Amino acid sequence: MANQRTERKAPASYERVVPIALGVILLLIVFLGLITFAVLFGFWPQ
Amino acid sequence: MSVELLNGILPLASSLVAFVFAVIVLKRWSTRKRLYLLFWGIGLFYYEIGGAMEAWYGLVGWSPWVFRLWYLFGAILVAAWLGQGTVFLLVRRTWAWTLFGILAVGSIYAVYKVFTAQLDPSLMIGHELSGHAITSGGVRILTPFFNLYGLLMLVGGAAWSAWLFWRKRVLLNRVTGNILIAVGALAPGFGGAFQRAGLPLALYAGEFIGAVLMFIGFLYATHPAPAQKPRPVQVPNATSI
Repeated sequence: MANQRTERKAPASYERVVPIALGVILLLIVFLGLITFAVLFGFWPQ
Repeated sequence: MSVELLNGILPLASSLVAFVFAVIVLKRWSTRKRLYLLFWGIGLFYYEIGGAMEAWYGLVGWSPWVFRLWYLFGAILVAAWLGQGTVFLLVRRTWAWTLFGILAVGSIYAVYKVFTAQLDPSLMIGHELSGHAITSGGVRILTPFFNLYGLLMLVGGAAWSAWLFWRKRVLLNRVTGNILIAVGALAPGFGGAFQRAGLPLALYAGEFIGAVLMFIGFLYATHPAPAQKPRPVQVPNATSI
């Protein structure tokens, strides 16, 4: 009997969507952080 | 449906979702005794209080107590305490307790500042509760610090967890769950930013979407899908036994 190992592969939809989703979340964190600083320094209405 | 009615119903719905969510999280904490669940549960009760005060204002009207409770729990503390839960989940215990010490001192200071602040409800813009009613200095400036900490810890922590599970291609339900939690946690932040820019109902809609997405994300992350059969792969140079 040949040795077998388990291939760790997510469904095809996951392979496409997850990296995009994580990238968008990262961008949103940065964007919201910038807005927070803009509020602090008066560039965005309080 | 009129904007006035939505101003009462939307936060009421957020409050109910947050209450059910908090009860489920605290029930889980009562059996597992993990600190992060306790802090998430407390944070979700703050969420619930914030939503309930907004609903009270929308359906009943102005009261200084309602405003102070809303500003303290809904605008200042909720994100930071939820984020502290994530800190207890992901960060070494000594660091987590140190950060909690700072948060606790900051929270006590916030209680003092909010409950001694002078208020003028006529300064609020639109039909929603907003910090414009606070006329004393040194109160509204607190919110960005608490919220930035909460944003980085809660959203960053969820995204980080999703990435870790994703990289190892394990527990994909937790990948999806954490992504939903991260997006849900961002929603009230963007709602608040758009409210400041003058978009009516943005904050309340953001809070409702946030509560629903985080709840679904938590359920998804804690209830794994039925195990999939691993796909066997032939290894070319493997030795036979």
